[in-house]
Amino acid sequence: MSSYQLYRNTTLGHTLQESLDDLIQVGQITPQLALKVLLQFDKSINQALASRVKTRVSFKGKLNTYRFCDNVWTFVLNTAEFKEVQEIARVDKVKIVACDGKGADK
Amino acid sequence: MADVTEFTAENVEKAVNNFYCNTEVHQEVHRWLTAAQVSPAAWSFCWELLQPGKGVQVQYFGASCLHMKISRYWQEVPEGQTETLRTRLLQQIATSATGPKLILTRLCVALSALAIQLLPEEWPNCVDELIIMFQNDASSLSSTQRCSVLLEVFTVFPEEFFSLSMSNDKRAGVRQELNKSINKILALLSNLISPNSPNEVYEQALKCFGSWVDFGIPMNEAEQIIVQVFQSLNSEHLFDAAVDTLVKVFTQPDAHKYPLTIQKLLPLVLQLQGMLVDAVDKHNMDVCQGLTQIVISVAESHPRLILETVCGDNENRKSDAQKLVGLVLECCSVPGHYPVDEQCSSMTFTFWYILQDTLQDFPVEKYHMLLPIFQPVYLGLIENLLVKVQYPPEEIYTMWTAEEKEQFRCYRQDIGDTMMYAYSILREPLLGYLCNALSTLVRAEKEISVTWELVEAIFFLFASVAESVDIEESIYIPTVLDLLQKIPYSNIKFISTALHMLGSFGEWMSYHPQSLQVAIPLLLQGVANTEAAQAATMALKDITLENLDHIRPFVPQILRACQAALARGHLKSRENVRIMSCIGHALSVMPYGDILEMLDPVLTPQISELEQLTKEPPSGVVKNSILLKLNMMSWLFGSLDTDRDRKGEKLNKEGPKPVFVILQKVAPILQSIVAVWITDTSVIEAVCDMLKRSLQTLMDDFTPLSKDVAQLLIQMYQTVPHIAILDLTKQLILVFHTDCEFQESAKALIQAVCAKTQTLFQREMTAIQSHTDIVESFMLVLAQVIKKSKSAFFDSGTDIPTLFQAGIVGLSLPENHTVKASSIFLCELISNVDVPVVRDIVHAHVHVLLDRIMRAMGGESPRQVMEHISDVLFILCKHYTDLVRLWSQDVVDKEGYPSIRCTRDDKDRFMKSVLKERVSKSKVRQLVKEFSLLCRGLLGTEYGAQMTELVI
Repeated sequence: MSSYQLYRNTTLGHTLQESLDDLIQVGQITPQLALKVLLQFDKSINQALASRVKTRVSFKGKLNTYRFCDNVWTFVLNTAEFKEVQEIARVDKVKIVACDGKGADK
Repeated sequence: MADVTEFTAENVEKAVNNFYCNTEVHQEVHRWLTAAQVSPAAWSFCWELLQPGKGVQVQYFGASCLHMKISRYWQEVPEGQTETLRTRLLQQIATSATGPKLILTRLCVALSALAIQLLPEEWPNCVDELIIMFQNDASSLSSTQRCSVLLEVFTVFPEEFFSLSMSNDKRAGVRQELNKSINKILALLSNLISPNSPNEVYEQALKCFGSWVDFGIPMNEAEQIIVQVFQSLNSEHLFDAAVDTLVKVFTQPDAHKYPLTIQKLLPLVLQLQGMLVDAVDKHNMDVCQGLTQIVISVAESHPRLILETVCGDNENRKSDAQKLVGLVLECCSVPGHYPVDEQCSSMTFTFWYILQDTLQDFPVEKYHMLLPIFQPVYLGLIENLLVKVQYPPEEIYTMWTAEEKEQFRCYRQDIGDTMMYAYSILREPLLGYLCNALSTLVRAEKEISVTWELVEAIFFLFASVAESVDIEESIYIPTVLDLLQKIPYSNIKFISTALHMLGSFGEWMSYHPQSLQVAIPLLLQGVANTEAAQAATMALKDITLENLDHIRPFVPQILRACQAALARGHLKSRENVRIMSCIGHALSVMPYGDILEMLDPVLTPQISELEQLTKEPPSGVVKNSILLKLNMMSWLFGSLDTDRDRKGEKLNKEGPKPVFVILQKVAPILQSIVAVWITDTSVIEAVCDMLKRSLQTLMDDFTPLSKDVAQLLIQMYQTVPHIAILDLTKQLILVFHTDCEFQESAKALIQAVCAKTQTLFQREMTAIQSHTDIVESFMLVLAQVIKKSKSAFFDSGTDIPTLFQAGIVGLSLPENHTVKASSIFLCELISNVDVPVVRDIVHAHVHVLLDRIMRAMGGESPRQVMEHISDVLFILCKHYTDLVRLWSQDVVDKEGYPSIRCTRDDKDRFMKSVLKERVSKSKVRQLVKEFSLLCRGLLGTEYGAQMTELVI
């Protein structure tokens, strides 16, 4: 069983890795245990985001580039508009990295 | 007690009882028990704890100890003792078989762990032996009890296989052995999954089969048992276990390798329809849900097979595949309102997405062949969704809990998404269907009373597909807009959805401007209504923005309505702000003179209210009112962009821009606000935001105000530093750095900002740590200023050496963005080798910077910031090679620095490699990364290698 690792690159993921690094440095845990924690983080955050998030955002923009490689979609949008129920946010350029949520546990 | 007491059965028993009875010493006892479990003594005391006379908790601890020892401390078992251990465990299982279930389960788990430890060499035919052993057992256990124990052991077997940690070779060996035994297990289960078995054995056998499906059973070999599992659905008692098992069967990752088996099993799935109808009649939602789960597991996991089968020649199979899709539709149509009456329909949504997605992946000729077959299915789907999406009658809806209402809101969103997918299959006929439904209702309205819920549902579905609709579409949407005016609006939810739908067609309207004649009056009516204002202002904002080319004839009426709404005061804060945005969009297409004339009656009351507010004594209410007025102005300034390209229209651009004129009028008031509220960060933030938006709209036309604003910024920053002020400072300098007249103001601004921020750095470290946002913005301002206006920076009279020290402090902070900003600043600064003051500082303080870099790599900074740290090192080595080389000897010689894990040789090698690399930043990054891993004890570990690269 493996889950996507892209959420390691979030504030939560970074903070976890910093804490694990600190614990390894002071000898409280081994790198093997840290790896287990990190893998559990991948699993839990994938599950939590798939099942517990209710907020929705819609967006549109001019598609500049797209690619689909190793089951990962990458889109670069120009003049993108993100719309939550109430508000709109505009950015000149945005990169969207997306994986199939259902594929995470296969 | 913990450290001194011996790990004997008696002490452990006491501790376990203590653990459950005395919460005060919980933590301490827990530590002691953990130590006991780990100790070799656990091998012996666990048996004593398992004696039947002991309490359940004590026995459970004993069984857990045994499992833990076998799974994690296997190497402690002396050679030749495994046989004794196995016999003793089997005896214990026989003894505990009649006791509490949880103890027995733990022991079975321990036995599975033992068997896996002994596989493949020491106990190669364990499955066989266990079957024989339990069949011929001469103990006092009944055959049902023996069967249950055996099934329990086999159920946990695959689970233990996945959870035990072992080497890859060992895992492969164990898997191979277990694969050999699968037929025996299947034969056993085939016998036991039968109505002749006692109920508990039957249920346990189903679970056991599910567990082996997870392990990986070739589906074709298990065909017979799967048929038996289908039969067990008829038993109320076994239903849940059978559903779980079938879902596992159809969703197991290898199932797609057995298309023939799935096709053969399909009639059994289709037979569930009768059960579903029956369950719906009896309102048995648990059964409906179970059946839906099975149907969905087949359909969702095998969409390609379904489509291939429909393309194929075998008529029976073709018909079965189509019927399966029909069955999914039936599951989606289970009557009642989600989530209160039913929860089946939402389970089907993913399938509708996957089906259309797979269909569109098919080669063109197959796609065109399949499309006419699946279009009616999707049409059936939208007919059904039109029912499902409706609000329940008001008297029922008000009884729902907040959680149920929220679930229903999400469910409607899911329906909206599903509509979008259905649109990709159906295209215009989908619009035709909705349009016809609406016309029929409007006609029927005259004779019978039509509920608003139904019409609302149609509007909601239209809004869901609005963004996908072809902008050329000119049949259905005009009809809808026409009908829209003939409907009596009675309910606020209904009105809001209608307005939302109008807004969602904003882009389409820009290609069909005549539709604005219908839309605008309706939206303006909505603006006047307290409850509808939220949806109306949102839609009006979208439509005005999308239709700038066509809005001009409507400007007077938009303005009148907005002015009236503002004057009436019934709008909420956000609605007021959106109204200003609409006004800005609408007026931006008018000539300057007209803009000011038309804006005057709207804006004058707002400005005088704002002025009045500045004179009132500060309070929470006054503050909120000021924030609202400032926000409204900000949005007006942001949207009143008179420079937008307009096709073929020559603008009368005489005189100053309207935003400038208004800003001039507001400027003295802003001064008064700042004077009173200078210590309030939210007000200061709002003032800066307003100025920033006007600067973005005016750009060069802002020039006459630039010096005053610079002065205002100095005044504000000197009182309370805030990132909004720094942000505006950066914008102002970037826009006007080439303007000679602004030079002196720019220098004064830089000087003031630097002087104030430096006081932060002179205080204790906690002051910096709690203001890292300011440090980050400050560093970015400095970096930008050096890059764009070197002279303004170096001639501003700021204390450059102190800034250099501040940059080093910035590098030591833990936040990624702050370190990045500080490293960008330091790189910009030290790259200016031709500036004497820079050269002097680097010569004098290079050791401090190097020390910071080394410590960061040594483990003081998080790994995520290493790239930024590396960039500073790269620039330093590039421009000051000799200096770095000189100091690097100190680094190499200092023992245990920056980490005890790196040797003198490691450091020497690292410094030499870095000093050699003058061109490739990425090579230095790689060197730094590796050196940092070495210092942290992570080099060569899987964990260290798994670190993600930052993409920010």
